[in-house]
Amino acid sequence: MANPTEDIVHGVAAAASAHSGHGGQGGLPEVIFGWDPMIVSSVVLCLAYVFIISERINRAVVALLGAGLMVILGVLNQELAVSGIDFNTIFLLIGMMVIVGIMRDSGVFQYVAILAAKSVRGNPRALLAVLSMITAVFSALLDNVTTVMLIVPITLLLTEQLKLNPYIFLVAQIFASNIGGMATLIGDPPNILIGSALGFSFMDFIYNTAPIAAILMVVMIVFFDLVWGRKMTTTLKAKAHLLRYKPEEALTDKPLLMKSLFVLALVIFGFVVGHGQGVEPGTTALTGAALLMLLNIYKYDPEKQTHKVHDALGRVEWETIFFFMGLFMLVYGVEHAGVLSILGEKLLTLTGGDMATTGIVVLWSSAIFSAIIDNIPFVATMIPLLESTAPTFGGAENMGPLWWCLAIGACLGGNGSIIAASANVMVASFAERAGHRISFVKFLKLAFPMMMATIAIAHVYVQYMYFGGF
Amino acid sequence: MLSSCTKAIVKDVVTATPNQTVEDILKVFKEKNIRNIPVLDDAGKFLGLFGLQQIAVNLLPKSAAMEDGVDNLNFIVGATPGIAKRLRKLHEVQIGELLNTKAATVTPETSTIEALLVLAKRGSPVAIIDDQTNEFKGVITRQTLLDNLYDVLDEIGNEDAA
Repeated sequence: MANPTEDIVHGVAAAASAHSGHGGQGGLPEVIFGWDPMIVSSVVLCLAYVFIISERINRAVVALLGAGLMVILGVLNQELAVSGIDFNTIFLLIGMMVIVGIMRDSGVFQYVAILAAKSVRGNPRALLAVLSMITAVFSALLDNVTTVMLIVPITLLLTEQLKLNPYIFLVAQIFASNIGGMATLIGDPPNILIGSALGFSFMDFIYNTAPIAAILMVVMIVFFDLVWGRKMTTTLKAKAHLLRYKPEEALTDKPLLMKSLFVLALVIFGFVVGHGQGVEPGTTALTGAALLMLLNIYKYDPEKQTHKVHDALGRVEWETIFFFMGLFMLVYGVEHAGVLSILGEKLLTLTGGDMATTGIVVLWSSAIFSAIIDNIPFVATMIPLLESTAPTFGGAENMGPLWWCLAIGACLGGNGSIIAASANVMVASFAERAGHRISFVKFLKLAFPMMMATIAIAHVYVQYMYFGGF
Repeated sequence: MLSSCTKAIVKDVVTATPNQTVEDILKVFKEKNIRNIPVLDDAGKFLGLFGLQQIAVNLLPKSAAMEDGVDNLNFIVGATPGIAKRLRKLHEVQIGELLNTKAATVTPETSTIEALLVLAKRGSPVAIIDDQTNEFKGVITRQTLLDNLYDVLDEIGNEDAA
């Protein structure tokens, strides 16, 4: 009887060789000096990873230079490089950034935070819980970086008012943003990448990642309360000051808020129903962004309209967009050269081609790697790697559990260190500006074990959800 | 006619040291009717500028004063006594902790048009320093530059008449 692992490996190797771009046959590019495309592309990717991890050079510049090298060195040609870009992801990111960028001018985020603080009457324990919940919900519906950019300043103000150290509030918000972002297709970049590449719908994420996100949020809030929340105290005077806040005054533009909420609701509706109609989330988000810009400019003269559109498009984090574009081309280079198929073989050899074992390995390794490097390049690399293993598992349609393990692992891994996710870096930057530095080591000591605990809970979840329990 | 801003420089300037308190400096501001003061070390090197702007920023909550911070505080009611108390606390702080170390500077050799650009974009006054030693040489203000321009206008007027 043939060794099943060997069959798996041979199956994947066949897929790999069909996929790889050796030798410039059939119009494929030819690597300069006849070098091995696998080695060239691997070296370029590894160098790019080193620079991205070191944070010495901006990540977008590194990704674009790496992408350029893939073409110049002949691993990819022009057409292949462009075809490697997932424009659905790019459009989804741009669309949501425009919508949120316009929406934030309404003051809604401050309004909600102040309302919540008043509703708990300035109680620090309850405030820690409600601000975490708000962060998680906003992170699920918007991107994490924008959420923390809007919620952290108001958190700093509220804690300053209540004379509380904001450190643990900020740590809780990092956790809440990564856990909340895990719940939906649009909540966290790894989910956007996975959803777009595999064609998962908004509801697919709601059914698969939202339940574990909800469970982990409850666990997190209870844990933070038991360890820190119950020890927090403030003065009656400070509470009294906070209770005099007028949340409605934080809403600076109510008509804009109404328009933004209307468009956001339409876009989310579009995500839910559009999938079955062949309308990708990127199209929905970009159309929603255009609609909101229209609602925001139609009454002005053309010159003012142009100014407002420039302003709205200026809210897009172009550094992130170019990072994604460079990364897609970079990863496509190694994928095209067949490197990721080989790594897929190694993974299958390690797990014996067993779905449950592979899923659990993917879950834990995603979390640990995502804590060390930014989870975006990790997931961008893992997607084609896992795709190459599809024949072993009877085709792409049976791979669902592996993708959910990847999504959960990568999103939760974002909690493992202060550099693991862009939102964490943003919170740390705000904390530093406010004089409450979050050091790498101090955060790591607290966050890494907590992240591992959340992965352990997620392990139990995926085991029961997809692999028939223990 | 000089093209540098030398003629617009005020050399007789009231200066402060970083260990003076905000309270001391506020008294100086009142006595001399000024709003900014260059801060120098013992060797006469320029350390930065301290003014009412730094006081205003430090009276705000940090979350509002910082870059990308809270940009609307209308919702806070009855904050005035709190701000006044903050001012009282600020009195004891040494200005070395608050001064603007990124204040714009020019050198005595800087051209008038460049000095005008710096004044227009970065505000007045602008410290004049020796770019080699960082030694403080004086300040240039919008008013002294305008005075200098009127002098030049007088010269040009005479030339035109001739």
